[in-house]
Amino acid sequence: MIAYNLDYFKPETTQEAYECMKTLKEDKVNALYYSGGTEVITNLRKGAFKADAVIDLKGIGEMSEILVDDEYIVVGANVPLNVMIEHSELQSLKSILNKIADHTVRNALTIGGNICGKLPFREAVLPLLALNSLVKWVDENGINESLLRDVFDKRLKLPPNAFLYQIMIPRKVGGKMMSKRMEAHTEVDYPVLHVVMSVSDTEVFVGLSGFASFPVYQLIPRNEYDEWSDPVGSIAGLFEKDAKSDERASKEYRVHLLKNQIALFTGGAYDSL
Amino acid sequence: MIHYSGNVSIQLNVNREIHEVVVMPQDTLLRVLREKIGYTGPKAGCENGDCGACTVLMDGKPVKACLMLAVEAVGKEVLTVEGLEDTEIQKAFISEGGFQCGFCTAGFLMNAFALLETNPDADEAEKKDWLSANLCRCTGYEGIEKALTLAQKNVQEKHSNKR
Repeated sequence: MIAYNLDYFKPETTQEAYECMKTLKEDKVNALYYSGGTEVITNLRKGAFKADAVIDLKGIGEMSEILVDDEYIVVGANVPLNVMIEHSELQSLKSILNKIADHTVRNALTIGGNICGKLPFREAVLPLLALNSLVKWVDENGINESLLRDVFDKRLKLPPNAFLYQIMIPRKVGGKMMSKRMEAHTEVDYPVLHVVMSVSDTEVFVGLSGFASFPVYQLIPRNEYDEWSDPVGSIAGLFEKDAKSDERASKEYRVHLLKNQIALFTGGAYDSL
Repeated sequence: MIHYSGNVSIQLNVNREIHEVVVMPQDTLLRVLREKIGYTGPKAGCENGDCGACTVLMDGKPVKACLMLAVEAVGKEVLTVEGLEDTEIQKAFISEGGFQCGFCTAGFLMNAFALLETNPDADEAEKKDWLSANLCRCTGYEGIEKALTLAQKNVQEKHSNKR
């Protein structure tokens, strides 16, 4: 039970949604954009965060669709993870996305909510960063577009009142992508470490969730990587400063897991996803 | 644009019946089903999305009713365990003893029913993936697994008889 009053808005266009948020903020109303609700409702109930109003973006049709053109798979921010997992064009993401939360939650949990939420994991962003996806977001100028890598640093950094609209995933990407998720107790749990590594002719991407207090990633030019005599130690060295200790695992254990996993990846233990 | 504030009257389609209820926007679907409409099958377990005892179907897909606002269900078809009477999964849970204290049972039933409706030929990995969303604190998983296996067999037989 959420123990205080909440106003609920459900706009039908991007402009309506943005204007709604802007007006509420001008009126000093603490409002949140809302999509799947799996994180928001829990936190409102527990009092972990407070809101006077939610703006449900599910009324904006194109934000709940997956469209495919010659270059991109365009995924609306309101698309639930299970819809992505089941989509024939997104099978390369399946083994990463289907480890987030549980099957029932993934019917509601949206890609936009996972990336923009307040939880520190945001695991779905890792393969999107690896694939050098683009994002579209809505602000006072309408719909904007940029590389995800340009606007994601620990979290998605959008202008005030802006919201994520669509993600454009390139269809033709060379190289291979590998992932491994490790939990402390059961599979349905937050990760102690979720590693996504991709290797192409031009770059090596390593992204981590659960390792630090936010998702972290590094891009290494392929020619530089090829000259490393100890890629495992070099990659671990790039992340070591970010490692956290908490009730799930110590910093040292996380670094150990990372080194072990990178050794398995670089030793060819995993095939391309 | 839809705007709900304070007490609002909405229509919810639950178990193929339209219910007119007065809710507040912050009311979860779980609380409205149980306290306003009287469907107490979905259980308030953790209310945190972990245990799955509140699972209902929304347009055929299992969702956790504790993680959803009631106003989000307007225009959708909601099915609770009360709507599963005389289904193969209900019969199999009874004949295989797929429950102990029974608190988690409704959630397992909803998820298992939806799985067999979606894919009657689901393999073990798919069954595990779907049902890992539900917890049984009595650890009565063996009976639940047997019930699902029996229900699947019966559903598959029904399908093959129709062909």
